[in-house]
Amino acid sequence: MFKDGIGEGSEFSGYHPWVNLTYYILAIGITMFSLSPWFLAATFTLSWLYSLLLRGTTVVRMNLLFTFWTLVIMALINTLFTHNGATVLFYLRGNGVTLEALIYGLSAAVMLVSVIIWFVSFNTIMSADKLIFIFGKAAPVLGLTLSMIFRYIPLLKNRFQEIKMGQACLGRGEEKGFMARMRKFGKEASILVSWSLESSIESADSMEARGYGLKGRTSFHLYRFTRRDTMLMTVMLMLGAIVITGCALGKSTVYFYPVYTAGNFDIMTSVTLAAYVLLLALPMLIDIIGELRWKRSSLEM
Amino acid sequence: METIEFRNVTFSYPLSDRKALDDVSFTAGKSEFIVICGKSGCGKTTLLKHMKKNLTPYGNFDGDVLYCGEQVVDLDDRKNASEIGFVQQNPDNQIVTDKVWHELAFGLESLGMDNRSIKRRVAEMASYFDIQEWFRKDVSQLSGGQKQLLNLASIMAMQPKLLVLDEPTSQLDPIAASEFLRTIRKINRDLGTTVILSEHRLEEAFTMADKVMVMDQGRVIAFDTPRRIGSFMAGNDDTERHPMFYGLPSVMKIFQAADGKGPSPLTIREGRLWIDRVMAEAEIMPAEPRPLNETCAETKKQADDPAIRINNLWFRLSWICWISWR
Repeated sequence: MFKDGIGEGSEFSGYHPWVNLTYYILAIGITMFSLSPWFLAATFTLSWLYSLLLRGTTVVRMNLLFTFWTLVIMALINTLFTHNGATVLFYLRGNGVTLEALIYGLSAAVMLVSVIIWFVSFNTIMSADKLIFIFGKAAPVLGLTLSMIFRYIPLLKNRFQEIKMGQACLGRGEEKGFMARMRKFGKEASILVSWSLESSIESADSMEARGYGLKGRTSFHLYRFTRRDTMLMTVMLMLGAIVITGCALGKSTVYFYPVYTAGNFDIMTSVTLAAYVLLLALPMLIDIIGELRWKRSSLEM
Repeated sequence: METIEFRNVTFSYPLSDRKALDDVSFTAGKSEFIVICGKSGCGKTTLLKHMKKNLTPYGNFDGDVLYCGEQVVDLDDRKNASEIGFVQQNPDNQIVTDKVWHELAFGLESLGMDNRSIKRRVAEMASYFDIQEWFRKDVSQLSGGQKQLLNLASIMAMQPKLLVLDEPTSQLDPIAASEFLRTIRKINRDLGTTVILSEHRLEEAFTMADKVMVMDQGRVIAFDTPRRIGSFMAGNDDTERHPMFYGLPSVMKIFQAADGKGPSPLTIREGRLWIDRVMAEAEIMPAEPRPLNETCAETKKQADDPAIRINNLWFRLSWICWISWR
């Protein structure tokens, strides 16, 4: 389980696409607008944990690399180019390098990294199917177009493989030199284009034969909004409302310049933070409970 | 009322002197199963394409093509889409969407049905065609046979009254092809859909057909029950054989070559019974089947004297071969 993660079969992934989408809008949206250290720590840790839970240890290397370099680059750039702030650490060519600029660079970097890592789990949860469903709600044509794109990518890949094999069988496989290889690639690409254009006539026929272009096209999906979706949605929206109220009241706001001030850690801040952590951790809890239940049921058998 | 009727249809493609269809007239009744055969280039595809409004080829056309008494070219688009199904040769090119379930729903989506009714129809089709196992798969993961079955199911979801198939098995392997043909037969039997099928693999299609049409150079040269088509194609002796005679099921070829009289047997079973009868009339006793141990000894002898001997041969299919081979 820890090597590969739970993957697409996760419990949360089985919820309705709108629920999944709402979660990510809240998680990523709030992350983007809060630079308070508590909030950053929460979103950073939880985004890491959830990507680990879903994708397993295979994502650690990429995540680490990305986190490290973003931190270094953003902190460096901000400290070198911003000279606001009261606490001067040292002077570089007559410009003050300040602690505040460094902190701002780090905070922004952590925020950015968290958003990106949220997208790691987003990719697993929001499968192509769900995106097609959501876009299809906006406009049926858009959903169909996406669906066709996802169909044609593997098809063209397969065709290209086949062309390559055909060319290799004609003895054109092992070209030496850059120009010769480019020429070979150009030839293969041109075969692919003419083949695909020709077959697209048949595809168009098949679409029209099945009534494409008639008025009032609908878009079909397999999702059902069940009671557990309603429940989770309500809980998420309530928690989201608390967090957003807290943010609006300035509980997640910090001032970097001239002096770094994070504000008092009062009751409202702790309530907001608790709601935020719970909101972000909800899918993880659902997944872990689901996994445990599954394990237990298979043991009982 | 005839499902489809051709009245003196003559057609030629633009810039061509040759007539692709030459005075073709025939009718296909309700729930009939018609197999069309002929050499390639004899006008089969052109004929079939005239049965579907949006596929009608462009050219010089004369005559009438009627679907349930209406001109096909004047059919309402909605009716044309839902009541006349058309399956083409290439399994890949007809698939439009990325998921099996979405492809099944494509036609129904176009007709503007609501989600609940589509779900029901799609579920029906999935279980009728045994698609449940790969219902949620990507279409790129399917084998050729499954793809063609999906194309058929996606058309059948609209519950057409007329199903036109243009050499649907030409790109399938023999096992998938015979499974596909069996499914078509099942549709014809269970749902009463009129089926018009052009086919190379006559061995199997012949036994299913109510009527067989033979085409040559744009003309219908024979349109009759499969039993009588055999003697027509055989002519009177070897010199008069029609080229398509060699594509007939072997039972029929043997029957004709042995100068069999009367209606020809269609299946191997009928062929065996016919031979028994002929043998009995000629008072020739068929050879006793040899005991099993004797044949064993023969196999062993063959193994001692092989035509080719291979040691330690390894073989591996690359994944792409494997997929197309499946």
